Amino acid sequence: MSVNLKEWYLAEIYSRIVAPLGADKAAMTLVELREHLEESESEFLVRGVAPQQAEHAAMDRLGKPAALARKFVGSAPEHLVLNASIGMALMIFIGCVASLHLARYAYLIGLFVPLAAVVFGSWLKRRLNVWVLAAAGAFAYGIGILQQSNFVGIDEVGLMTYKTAHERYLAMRESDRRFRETEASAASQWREAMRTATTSVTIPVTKLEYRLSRQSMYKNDSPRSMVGSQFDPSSYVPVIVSNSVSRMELRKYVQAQLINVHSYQNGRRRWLSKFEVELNTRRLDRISGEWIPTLFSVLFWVGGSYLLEAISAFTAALVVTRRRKLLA
Amino acid sequence: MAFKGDLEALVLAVLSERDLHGYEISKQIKLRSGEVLKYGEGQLYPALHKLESELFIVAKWVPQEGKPDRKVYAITPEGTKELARHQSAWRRFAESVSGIMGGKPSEAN
Repeated sequence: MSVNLKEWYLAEIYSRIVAPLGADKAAMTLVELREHLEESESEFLVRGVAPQQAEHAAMDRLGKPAALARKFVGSAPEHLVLNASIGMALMIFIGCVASLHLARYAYLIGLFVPLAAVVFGSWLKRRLNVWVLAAAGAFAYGIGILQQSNFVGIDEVGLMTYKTAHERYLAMRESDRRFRETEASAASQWREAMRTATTSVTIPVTKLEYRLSRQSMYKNDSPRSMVGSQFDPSSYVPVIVSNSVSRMELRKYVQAQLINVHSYQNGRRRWLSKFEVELNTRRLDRISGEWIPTLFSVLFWVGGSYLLEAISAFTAALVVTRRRKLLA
Repeated sequence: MAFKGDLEALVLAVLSERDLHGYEISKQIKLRSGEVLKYGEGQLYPALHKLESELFIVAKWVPQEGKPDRKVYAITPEGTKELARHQSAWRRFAESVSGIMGGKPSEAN
Protein backbone atom coordinates (compact mmCIF):
# COMPACT_ATOMS: atom_id res chain seq x y z
CA MET A 1 0.00 0.00 0.00
CA SER A 2 1.41 3.33 -0.95
CA VAL A 3 2.14 5.42 2.10
CA ASN A 4 0.46 8.52 0.73
CA LEU A 5 -2.89 6.92 0.03
CA LYS A 6 -3.01 5.09 3.33
CA GLU A 7 -1.90 8.15 5.24
CA TRP A 8 -4.45 10.28 3.47
CA TYR A 9 -7.17 7.76 4.30
CA LEU A 10 -6.19 7.60 7.96
CA ALA A 11 -5.73 11.36 8.20
CA GLU A 12 -9.25 11.82 6.87
CA ILE A 13 -10.60 9.60 9.62
CA TYR A 14 -8.43 11.21 12.29
CA SER A 15 -9.53 14.72 11.39
CA ARG A 16 -13.13 13.70 11.90
CA ILE A 17 -12.81 11.75 15.13
CA VAL A 18 -10.17 13.76 16.98
CA ALA A 19 -12.60 16.40 18.28
CA PRO A 20 -15.33 14.12 19.61
CA LEU A 21 -13.10 11.26 20.81
CA GLY A 22 -10.09 13.23 21.97
CA ALA A 23 -6.52 13.09 20.69
CA ASP A 24 -5.41 10.00 22.65
CA LYS A 25 -8.36 7.82 21.78
CA ALA A 26 -8.30 8.97 18.17
CA ALA A 27 -4.59 8.14 17.90
CA MET A 28 -5.12 4.68 19.36
CA THR A 29 -8.02 4.09 17.01
CA LEU A 30 -5.81 5.07 14.12
CA VAL A 31 -3.13 2.59 15.13
CA GLU A 32 -5.76 -0.12 15.19
CA LEU A 33 -7.18 0.85 11.82
CA ARG A 34 -3.74 1.07 10.25
CA GLU A 35 -2.99 -2.47 11.35
CA HIS A 36 -6.32 -3.65 10.07
CA LEU A 37 -5.64 -2.11 6.67
CA GLU A 38 -2.22 -3.70 6.45
CA GLU A 39 -3.47 -7.13 7.42
CA SER A 40 -6.37 -6.91 5.06
CA GLU A 41 -4.11 -5.84 2.23
CA SER A 42 -1.71 -8.70 2.95
CA GLU A 43 -4.60 -11.12 2.74
CA PHE A 44 -5.58 -9.79 -0.67
CA LEU A 45 -1.98 -10.01 -1.85
CA VAL A 46 -1.77 -13.64 -0.73
CA ARG A 47 -4.84 -14.33 -2.83
CA GLY A 48 -3.00 -12.95 -5.84
CA VAL A 49 -4.65 -9.58 -6.09
CA ALA A 50 -2.49 -6.84 -7.62
CA PRO A 51 -0.93 -4.52 -5.01
CA GLN A 52 -2.83 -1.41 -6.01
CA GLN A 53 -6.13 -3.27 -6.16
CA ALA A 54 -5.39 -4.86 -2.81
CA GLU A 55 -4.86 -1.42 -1.36
CA HIS A 56 -8.19 -0.18 -2.62
CA ALA A 57 -9.99 -3.37 -1.64
CA ALA A 58 -8.70 -3.12 1.93
CA MET A 59 -9.97 0.44 2.22
CA ASP A 60 -13.27 -0.44 0.57
CA ARG A 61 -13.86 -3.16 3.11
CA LEU A 62 -13.25 -0.77 5.94
CA GLY A 63 -15.51 1.88 4.45
CA LYS A 64 -15.31 5.52 3.50
CA PRO A 65 -13.53 7.75 6.01
CA ALA A 66 -16.52 9.99 6.63
CA ALA A 67 -18.91 7.08 7.19
CA LEU A 68 -16.45 5.28 9.42
CA ALA A 69 -15.75 8.39 11.48
CA ARG A 70 -19.47 8.98 11.89
CA LYS A 71 -19.89 5.49 13.33
CA PHE A 72 -17.12 6.12 15.84
CA VAL A 73 -18.58 9.44 16.86
CA GLY A 74 -22.07 8.00 17.12
CA SER A 75 -20.83 5.25 19.42
CA ALA A 76 -19.29 7.64 21.91
CA PRO A 77 -21.69 8.30 24.82
CA GLU A 78 -19.76 11.38 25.86
CA HIS A 79 -20.49 12.83 22.46
CA LEU A 80 -24.21 12.45 23.08
CA VAL A 81 -23.84 14.50 26.24
CA LEU A 82 -21.83 17.12 24.38
CA ASN A 83 -24.33 17.16 21.55
CA ALA A 84 -27.25 17.52 23.91
CA SER A 85 -25.53 20.27 25.87
CA ILE A 86 -24.70 22.23 22.74
CA GLY A 87 -28.25 21.73 21.56
CA MET A 88 -29.63 23.09 24.82
CA ALA A 89 -27.29 26.07 24.72
CA LEU A 90 -28.34 26.82 21.18
CA MET A 91 -31.97 26.55 22.17
CA ILE A 92 -31.45 29.17 24.85
CA PHE A 93 -29.49 31.34 22.45
CA ILE A 94 -32.14 31.13 19.76
CA GLY A 95 -34.87 31.77 22.29
CA CYS A 96 -33.11 34.91 23.52
CA VAL A 97 -32.28 36.14 20.05
CA ALA A 98 -35.80 35.47 18.98
CA SER A 99 -37.19 37.59 21.77
CA LEU A 100 -34.66 40.36 21.75
CA HIS A 101 -34.33 40.95 18.06
CA LEU A 102 -37.19 39.45 16.22
CA ALA A 103 -39.97 38.82 18.65
CA ARG A 104 -42.77 36.91 16.99
CA TYR A 105 -41.27 35.83 13.70
CA ALA A 106 -38.02 34.72 15.18
CA TYR A 107 -40.08 32.98 17.79
CA LEU A 108 -41.49 30.91 14.98
CA ILE A 109 -38.04 30.45 13.50
CA GLY A 110 -36.74 29.52 16.91
CA LEU A 111 -39.57 27.05 17.29
CA PHE A 112 -39.85 25.35 13.93
CA VAL A 113 -36.34 25.46 12.52
CA PRO A 114 -34.82 23.59 15.46
CA LEU A 115 -37.81 21.26 15.48
CA ALA A 116 -37.09 20.45 11.85
CA ALA A 117 -33.44 20.16 12.77
CA VAL A 118 -34.27 17.60 15.41
CA VAL A 119 -36.31 15.54 12.98
CA PHE A 120 -33.92 15.75 10.05
CA GLY A 121 -30.88 15.83 12.28
CA SER A 122 -31.78 12.41 13.64
CA TRP A 123 -32.04 11.22 10.12
CA LEU A 124 -28.65 12.75 9.38
CA LYS A 125 -27.02 10.67 12.08
CA ARG A 126 -27.93 13.04 14.88
CA ARG A 127 -24.66 14.96 15.09
CA LEU A 128 -25.65 17.26 12.27
CA ASN A 129 -28.28 18.67 14.62
CA VAL A 130 -25.69 20.90 16.09
CA TRP A 131 -24.76 22.40 12.76
CA VAL A 132 -28.35 22.85 11.66
CA LEU A 133 -29.14 24.52 14.96
CA ALA A 134 -26.09 26.70 14.69
CA ALA A 135 -27.24 27.73 11.23
CA ALA A 136 -30.71 28.48 12.59
CA GLY A 137 -29.25 30.56 15.40
CA ALA A 138 -26.98 32.43 13.00
CA PHE A 139 -29.92 33.02 10.68
CA ALA A 140 -32.10 34.38 13.46
CA TYR A 141 -29.27 36.57 14.69
CA GLY A 142 -28.48 37.77 11.17
CA ILE A 143 -32.08 38.78 10.58
CA GLY A 144 -32.02 40.57 13.92
CA ILE A 145 -28.95 42.54 12.86
CA LEU A 146 -30.55 43.39 9.54
CA GLN A 147 -33.58 44.61 11.39
CA GLN A 148 -31.45 46.73 13.63
CA SER A 149 -30.19 48.51 10.57
CA ASN A 150 -33.74 48.85 9.22
CA PHE A 151 -32.56 47.08 6.13
CA VAL A 152 -35.29 44.53 6.47
CA GLY A 153 -38.61 45.18 8.06
CA ILE A 154 -41.15 42.60 9.07
CA ASP A 155 -44.81 43.26 9.48
CA GLU A 156 -47.94 41.20 9.72
CA VAL A 157 -47.73 40.12 6.09
CA GLY A 158 -44.13 39.01 6.34
CA LEU A 159 -40.89 40.41 5.07
CA MET A 160 -40.96 43.75 3.41
CA THR A 161 -38.25 45.30 1.37
CA TYR A 162 -36.03 48.16 2.31
CA LYS A 163 -37.86 50.27 -0.25
CA THR A 164 -41.18 49.67 1.48
CA ALA A 165 -39.63 50.46 4.82
CA HIS A 166 -38.23 53.67 3.42
CA GLU A 167 -41.59 54.66 1.96
CA ARG A 168 -43.16 54.09 5.32
CA TYR A 169 -40.49 56.16 6.94
CA LEU A 170 -41.23 59.03 4.55
CA ALA A 171 -44.94 58.71 5.30
CA MET A 172 -44.17 58.86 8.98
CA ARG A 173 -42.14 62.03 8.50
CA GLU A 174 -44.96 63.62 6.56
CA SER A 175 -47.39 62.65 9.31
CA ASP A 176 -45.03 64.12 11.86
CA ARG A 177 -44.88 67.40 9.96
CA ARG A 178 -48.67 67.60 9.83
CA PHE A 179 -48.88 66.90 13.52
CA ARG A 180 -46.51 69.71 14.38
CA GLU A 181 -48.48 72.13 12.26
CA THR A 182 -51.69 71.41 14.12
CA GLU A 183 -50.22 70.84 17.55
CA ALA A 184 -49.93 74.52 18.40
CA SER A 185 -53.59 75.24 17.71
CA ALA A 186 -54.64 72.06 19.54
CA ALA A 187 -52.62 73.07 22.57
CA SER A 188 -54.11 76.54 22.70
CA GLN A 189 -57.59 75.05 22.34
CA TRP A 190 -56.84 72.71 25.17
CA ARG A 191 -55.53 75.49 27.42
CA GLU A 192 -58.59 77.56 26.68
CA ALA A 193 -60.89 74.68 27.63
CA MET A 194 -59.08 74.20 30.91
CA ARG A 195 -59.18 77.91 31.67
CA THR A 196 -62.84 78.67 30.94
CA ALA A 197 -64.71 75.37 31.35
CA THR A 198 -67.28 76.53 28.85
CA THR A 199 -70.53 74.79 28.06
CA SER A 200 -69.17 73.11 25.04
CA VAL A 201 -65.65 72.43 23.97
CA THR A 202 -64.15 70.26 21.35
CA ILE A 203 -61.25 68.29 22.69
CA PRO A 204 -58.97 66.68 20.18
CA VAL A 205 -58.91 63.23 21.70
CA THR A 206 -57.73 61.74 18.49
CA LYS A 207 -54.86 64.14 18.59
CA LEU A 208 -54.10 63.14 22.15
CA GLU A 209 -54.27 59.54 21.20
CA TYR A 210 -51.92 60.27 18.41
CA ARG A 211 -49.61 62.03 20.78
CA LEU A 212 -49.58 59.05 23.11
CA SER A 213 -48.87 56.71 20.29
CA ARG A 214 -46.10 59.03 19.18
CA GLN A 215 -44.57 58.76 22.61
CA SER A 216 -44.69 55.00 22.51
CA MET A 217 -43.40 55.06 18.98
CA TYR A 218 -40.39 57.08 19.92
CA LYS A 219 -39.54 54.42 22.42
CA ASN A 220 -40.31 51.67 20.03
CA ASP A 221 -39.20 53.43 16.86
CA SER A 222 -41.53 51.39 14.76
CA PRO A 223 -42.29 52.77 11.30
CA ARG A 224 -45.25 50.45 11.03
CA SER A 225 -46.87 51.73 14.21
CA MET A 226 -46.29 55.31 13.14
CA VAL A 227 -47.98 54.83 9.83
CA GLY A 228 -50.80 52.96 11.49
CA SER A 229 -51.50 55.94 13.78
CA GLN A 230 -51.54 58.75 11.27
CA PHE A 231 -53.24 61.79 12.70
CA ASP A 232 -56.31 63.17 11.04
CA PRO A 233 -56.93 66.72 12.36
CA SER A 234 -60.56 66.67 11.25
CA SER A 235 -61.59 63.83 13.54
CA TYR A 236 -62.00 65.61 16.84
CA VAL A 237 -64.16 64.10 19.52
CA PRO A 238 -66.67 66.59 20.88
CA VAL A 239 -67.00 66.71 24.63
CA ILE A 240 -70.05 68.45 26.04
CA VAL A 241 -69.52 69.96 29.45
CA SER A 242 -72.11 71.90 31.41
CA ASN A 243 -71.44 75.12 33.23
CA SER A 244 -71.82 73.38 36.56
CA VAL A 245 -68.81 71.19 35.98
CA SER A 246 -65.79 72.46 37.74
CA ARG A 247 -62.45 72.77 36.09
CA MET A 248 -61.17 69.93 38.27
CA GLU A 249 -63.99 67.63 37.17
CA LEU A 250 -63.34 68.50 33.60
CA ARG A 251 -59.71 67.68 34.10
CA LYS A 252 -60.66 64.33 35.67
CA TYR A 253 -62.94 63.59 32.79
CA VAL A 254 -60.30 64.30 30.25
CA GLN A 255 -57.78 62.32 32.24
CA ALA A 256 -60.20 59.40 32.20
CA GLN A 257 -60.39 59.78 28.46
CA LEU A 258 -56.64 59.76 28.31
CA ILE A 259 -56.49 56.64 30.48
CA ASN A 260 -58.96 54.97 28.17
CA VAL A 261 -56.91 55.95 25.20
CA HIS A 262 -53.79 54.78 26.90
CA SER A 263 -55.31 51.45 27.88
CA TYR A 264 -56.54 51.02 24.40
CA GLN A 265 -53.11 51.76 23.12
CA ASN A 266 -51.60 49.28 25.49
CA GLY A 267 -54.22 46.70 24.76
CA ARG A 268 -53.73 47.15 21.07
CA ARG A 269 -50.02 46.95 21.41
CA ARG A 270 -50.21 43.81 23.46
CA TRP A 271 -52.60 42.21 21.05
CA LEU A 272 -50.52 43.11 18.05
CA SER A 273 -47.41 41.90 19.77
CA LYS A 274 -48.66 38.39 19.49
CA PHE A 275 -48.73 38.50 15.74
CA GLU A 276 -46.46 41.22 14.58
CA VAL A 277 -42.82 41.86 14.64
CA GLU A 278 -41.85 45.24 15.96
CA LEU A 279 -38.71 46.70 14.61
CA ASN A 280 -35.78 47.46 16.85
CA THR A 281 -37.32 46.24 20.06
CA ARG A 282 -34.43 46.06 22.41
CA ARG A 283 -35.88 47.43 25.57
CA LEU A 284 -36.19 44.64 28.07
CA ASP A 285 -38.87 46.42 30.03
CA ARG A 286 -41.04 46.38 26.94
CA ILE A 287 -40.55 42.79 26.04
CA SER A 288 -40.02 41.23 29.43
CA GLY A 289 -43.54 39.97 29.20
CA GLU A 290 -42.68 38.21 25.96
CA TRP A 291 -39.20 36.80 26.08
CA ILE A 292 -39.79 34.65 29.11
CA PRO A 293 -42.70 32.69 27.59
CA THR A 294 -40.83 32.58 24.31
CA LEU A 295 -37.77 31.14 25.95
CA PHE A 296 -39.75 28.65 27.93
CA SER A 297 -41.79 27.61 24.94
CA VAL A 298 -38.66 26.95 22.97
CA LEU A 299 -37.10 25.08 25.84
CA PHE A 300 -40.14 23.00 26.57
CA TRP A 301 -41.19 22.14 23.07
CA VAL A 302 -37.87 21.81 21.34
CA GLY A 303 -35.26 21.66 24.03
CA GLY A 304 -37.25 18.92 25.67
CA SER A 305 -36.07 16.42 23.12
CA TYR A 306 -32.50 17.42 23.83
CA LEU A 307 -33.16 17.16 27.51
CA LEU A 308 -34.36 13.61 27.03
CA GLU A 309 -31.29 12.86 24.99
CA ALA A 310 -29.09 14.35 27.67
CA ILE A 311 -30.86 12.36 30.39
CA SER A 312 -30.46 9.12 28.46
CA ALA A 313 -26.79 9.88 27.81
CA PHE A 314 -26.14 10.71 31.45
CA THR A 315 -27.98 7.59 32.51
CA ALA A 316 -25.80 5.53 30.20
CA ALA A 317 -22.72 7.21 31.65
CA LEU A 318 -23.91 6.39 35.18
CA VAL A 319 -24.45 2.75 34.25
CA VAL A 320 -20.95 2.55 32.81
CA THR A 321 -19.49 4.17 35.91
CA ARG A 322 -21.29 1.66 38.09
CA ARG A 323 -19.99 -1.24 36.04
CA ARG A 324 -16.50 0.21 36.19
CA LYS A 325 -16.71 0.34 39.97
CA LEU A 326 -17.97 -3.22 40.10
CA LEU A 327 -15.12 -4.41 37.91
CA ALA A 328 -12.58 -2.50 39.96
CA MET B 1 -25.98 -11.99 2.51
CA ALA B 2 -25.56 -8.64 4.19
CA PHE B 3 -25.63 -8.95 7.96
CA LYS B 4 -27.05 -6.05 9.88
CA GLY B 5 -27.97 -7.94 13.00
CA ASP B 6 -26.42 -8.00 16.39
CA LEU B 7 -22.77 -7.54 15.62
CA GLU B 8 -21.99 -6.83 19.25
CA ALA B 9 -23.35 -10.22 20.28
CA LEU B 10 -21.26 -11.93 17.62
CA VAL B 11 -18.16 -10.12 18.84
CA LEU B 12 -18.86 -11.20 22.41
CA ALA B 13 -19.40 -14.77 21.25
CA VAL B 14 -16.10 -14.84 19.40
CA LEU B 15 -14.24 -13.26 22.30
CA SER B 16 -15.77 -15.69 24.78
CA GLU B 17 -13.41 -18.34 23.42
CA ARG B 18 -10.18 -16.39 23.34
CA ASP B 19 -8.72 -12.91 23.29
CA LEU B 20 -8.42 -11.49 19.79
CA HIS B 21 -7.46 -8.32 17.98
CA GLY B 22 -9.83 -6.44 15.67
CA TYR B 23 -8.88 -7.96 12.36
CA GLU B 24 -8.92 -11.48 13.78
CA ILE B 25 -12.39 -10.93 15.26
CA SER B 26 -13.64 -9.89 11.85
CA LYS B 27 -12.02 -12.91 10.24
CA GLN B 28 -13.41 -15.31 12.81
CA ILE B 29 -16.97 -14.08 12.31
CA LYS B 30 -16.67 -14.58 8.59
CA LEU B 31 -15.03 -17.98 8.85
CA ARG B 32 -17.33 -19.38 11.50
CA SER B 33 -20.42 -18.25 9.63
CA GLY B 34 -19.15 -19.96 6.48
CA GLU B 35 -18.76 -16.50 4.85
CA VAL B 36 -22.51 -16.04 5.13
CA LEU B 37 -22.36 -13.13 7.56
CA LYS B 38 -20.66 -10.33 5.72
CA TYR B 39 -20.71 -6.83 7.12
CA GLY B 40 -18.71 -3.70 6.51
CA GLU B 41 -15.54 -4.02 8.51
CA GLY B 42 -15.95 -0.38 9.42
CA GLN B 43 -18.83 -1.42 11.66
CA LEU B 44 -16.58 -3.61 13.76
CA TYR B 45 -14.40 -0.97 15.40
CA PRO B 46 -17.21 1.35 16.49
CA ALA B 47 -18.92 -1.74 17.92
CA LEU B 48 -15.74 -2.67 19.77
CA HIS B 49 -15.46 0.86 21.14
CA LYS B 50 -19.04 0.73 22.30
CA LEU B 51 -18.57 -2.63 23.99
CA GLU B 52 -15.42 -1.32 25.60
CA SER B 53 -17.13 1.82 26.87
CA GLU B 54 -19.89 -0.34 28.32
CA LEU B 55 -17.20 -2.52 29.91
CA PHE B 56 -18.38 -5.71 28.28
CA ILE B 57 -14.88 -6.10 26.90
CA VAL B 58 -11.49 -4.75 27.88
CA ALA B 59 -8.56 -3.97 25.65
CA LYS B 60 -4.85 -4.34 26.28
CA TRP B 61 -1.91 -3.39 24.14
CA VAL B 62 0.31 -6.34 23.31
CA PRO B 63 3.83 -5.63 22.09
CA GLN B 64 4.85 -7.04 18.71
CA GLU B 65 8.32 -7.54 17.38
CA GLY B 66 9.29 -4.87 14.88
CA LYS B 67 5.76 -3.55 14.69
CA PRO B 68 3.60 -1.20 16.73
CA ASP B 69 1.74 -2.62 19.71
CA ARG B 70 -1.47 -4.42 18.92
CA LYS B 71 -4.76 -3.89 20.67
CA VAL B 72 -6.21 -7.18 21.86
CA TYR B 73 -9.70 -7.48 23.26
CA ALA B 74 -10.94 -9.77 26.03
CA ILE B 75 -14.44 -10.35 27.35
CA THR B 76 -15.26 -9.28 30.93
CA PRO B 77 -17.61 -11.04 33.38
CA GLU B 78 -20.20 -8.40 32.56
CA GLY B 79 -19.68 -9.19 28.89
CA THR B 80 -20.19 -12.88 29.56
CA LYS B 81 -23.50 -12.13 31.25
CA GLU B 82 -24.49 -9.92 28.34
CA LEU B 83 -23.60 -12.69 25.92
CA ALA B 84 -25.76 -15.13 27.87
CA ARG B 85 -28.66 -12.70 27.57
CA HIS B 86 -28.11 -12.43 23.83
CA GLN B 87 -27.88 -16.20 23.44
CA SER B 88 -31.08 -16.73 25.35
CA ALA B 89 -32.91 -14.12 23.27
CA TRP B 90 -31.53 -15.60 20.08
CA ARG B 91 -32.64 -19.11 21.03
CA ARG B 92 -36.15 -17.91 21.70
CA PHE B 93 -36.21 -16.03 18.40
CA ALA B 94 -34.81 -18.96 16.40
CA GLU B 95 -37.27 -21.43 17.94
CA SER B 96 -40.18 -19.11 17.23
CA VAL B 97 -39.20 -18.69 13.61
CA SER B 98 -38.53 -22.42 13.22
CA GLY B 99 -41.92 -23.17 14.72
CA ILE B 100 -43.53 -21.20 11.93
CA MET B 101 -41.20 -21.93 9.05
CA GLY B 102 -40.64 -25.58 9.95
CA GLY B 103 -37.34 -27.38 10.32
CA LYS B 104 -37.27 -27.37 14.09
CA PRO B 105 -34.18 -29.10 15.43
CA SER B 106 -36.46 -31.56 17.28
CA GLU B 107 -38.39 -32.37 14.10
CA ALA B 108 -35.24 -32.82 12.07
CA ASN B 109 -34.01 -35.36 14.58
